[in-house]
Amino acid sequence: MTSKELILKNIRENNIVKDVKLPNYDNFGIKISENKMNEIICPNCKKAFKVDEAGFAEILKQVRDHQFGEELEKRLHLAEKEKINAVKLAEANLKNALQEDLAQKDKQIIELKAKSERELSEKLAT
Amino acid sequence: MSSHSENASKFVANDERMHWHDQALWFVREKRDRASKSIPEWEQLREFANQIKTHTMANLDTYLLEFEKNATKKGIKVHFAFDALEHNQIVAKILKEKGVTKLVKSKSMLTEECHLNPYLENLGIEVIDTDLGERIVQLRNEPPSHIVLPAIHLKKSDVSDTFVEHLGTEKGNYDPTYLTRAARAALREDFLTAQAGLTGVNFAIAQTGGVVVCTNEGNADMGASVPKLHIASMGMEKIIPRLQDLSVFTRLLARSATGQPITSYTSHFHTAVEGGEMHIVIVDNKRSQFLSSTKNKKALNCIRCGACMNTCPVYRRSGGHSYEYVIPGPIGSILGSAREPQLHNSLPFACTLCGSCTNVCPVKIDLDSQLYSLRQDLGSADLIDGKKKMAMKVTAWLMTKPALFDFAGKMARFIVPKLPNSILYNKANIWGKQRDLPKMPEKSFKEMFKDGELDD
Repeated sequence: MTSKELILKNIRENNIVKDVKLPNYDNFGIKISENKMNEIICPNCKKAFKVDEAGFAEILKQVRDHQFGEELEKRLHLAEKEKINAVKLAEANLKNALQEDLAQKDKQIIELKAKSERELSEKLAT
Repeated sequence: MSSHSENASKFVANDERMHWHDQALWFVREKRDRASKSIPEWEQLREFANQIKTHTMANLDTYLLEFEKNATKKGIKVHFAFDALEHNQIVAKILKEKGVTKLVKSKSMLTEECHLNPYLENLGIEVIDTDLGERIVQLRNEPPSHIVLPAIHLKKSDVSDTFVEHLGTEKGNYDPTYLTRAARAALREDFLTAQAGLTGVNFAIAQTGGVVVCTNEGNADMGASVPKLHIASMGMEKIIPRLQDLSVFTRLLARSATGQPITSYTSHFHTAVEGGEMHIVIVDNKRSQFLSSTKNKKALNCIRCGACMNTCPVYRRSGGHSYEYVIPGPIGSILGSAREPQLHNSLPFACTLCGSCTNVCPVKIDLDSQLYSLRQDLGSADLIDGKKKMAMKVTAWLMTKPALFDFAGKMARFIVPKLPNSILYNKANIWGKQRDLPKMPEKSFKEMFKDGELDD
């Protein structure tokens, strides 16, 4: 018999230690904070009332949602305004460019007209 | 047959030393108290540790096999040693096969228990203890006097004198920093030149097949990492089932031992160093006998923190060497006298049964109850000192005769106050060596009870 076998045999034959369950460490050492109550005072009637952590968070969320909505609307309005202005600017720029082009064409026509008249009078003179 | 009281009388002869030894250990005990009170879940941790150890001992065979399987998978060679001699033979064989001539050893009470150092030295292998306290006592050719603080019985001047002789330090320089640096320089050389390192084991995790060693000096890491050969020696009770159980013990161990939140090094060894070899030697050496003992089975739960020693009023005033067993203090008195009752029959009596050891034990070992029951076992086995036995017999005889008992009490109350100190505090009155006898009451308890003089 090897020493390993002998040791295991001794343990198995003589062990009278009564088994217990191994500990479960779920949430061990995690301190769950107490359910703190928050006091809220009504701005109108000045009456104080208490809400728990979850209720307080819910109220805070609602306040945030309302503010967020207002802000979002404001921003959308501004964006719309900016969009209209941009379109107007683009239209104006296009109009200017077209007018410039038209003026150049007019100038060319006048020049060509003058040139052809000059050539005609030179031919008649000869 | 050892006599704790005779050895203790040598220690207490130096009154100054006895007092600073007492105060030094009480300082550690107070640190332990502060550290344990700093975490609210302390008592829950103690209960967890108790459950883990009890469960492990109940299933020890299963966990040993699981540990062996998982360690082997990682390339570690696992050996089983039935007793101390076999442990030493296994270690010596491994070292001889690798041609090792120098071994660096980190603190291991098991190798002290097996007397490994002299065994290897006889075979021509140099053994260097690398824990500073262990190295000091090794150089002085003394055994450790405490399992966590091996040189607690020595003063700075004693250490300095030892280093002058062995390390060539400056004579009369008692500066701890200077002395520590000198030891460090010498040990660094040993780490670099040794061909093998041997460590103890604080915890062996069955689930992972690895071992964990806790030190404050990092010497186990050096010993296990620099040489290519690492041997870890462990008592079979060091097994814990799962990795997650380790955190319970690491939190308890350092706080209980020295009052630290954690040891400076908590090193996990799960395989050999690259190109090296790792061996683990699992030792029984009469441990399995505790599993069959109704009264002493919980002694195997010990994690060797030394808290029971630091708090024990007897240990603090008598020193570790007075126990003459490898592990001193309350837990050593149990292990020693249960294993070798003929040799250590005086140890269970080196106790006031105050129960302080039980109160501080991180794994809830019922130390004082075990010591009390061991006294009864020794009495039944006729292993009590003759004088003590005779005194007990006389007392038992007297107490079974109420009239005689009352008369003896009356005579003592009458005569003792009239005796001169030279007779009262004679050589035979050991109790009176450092204490005054209390003032004798006028009436016995029985008389006061009868006369209605006792408070409710």
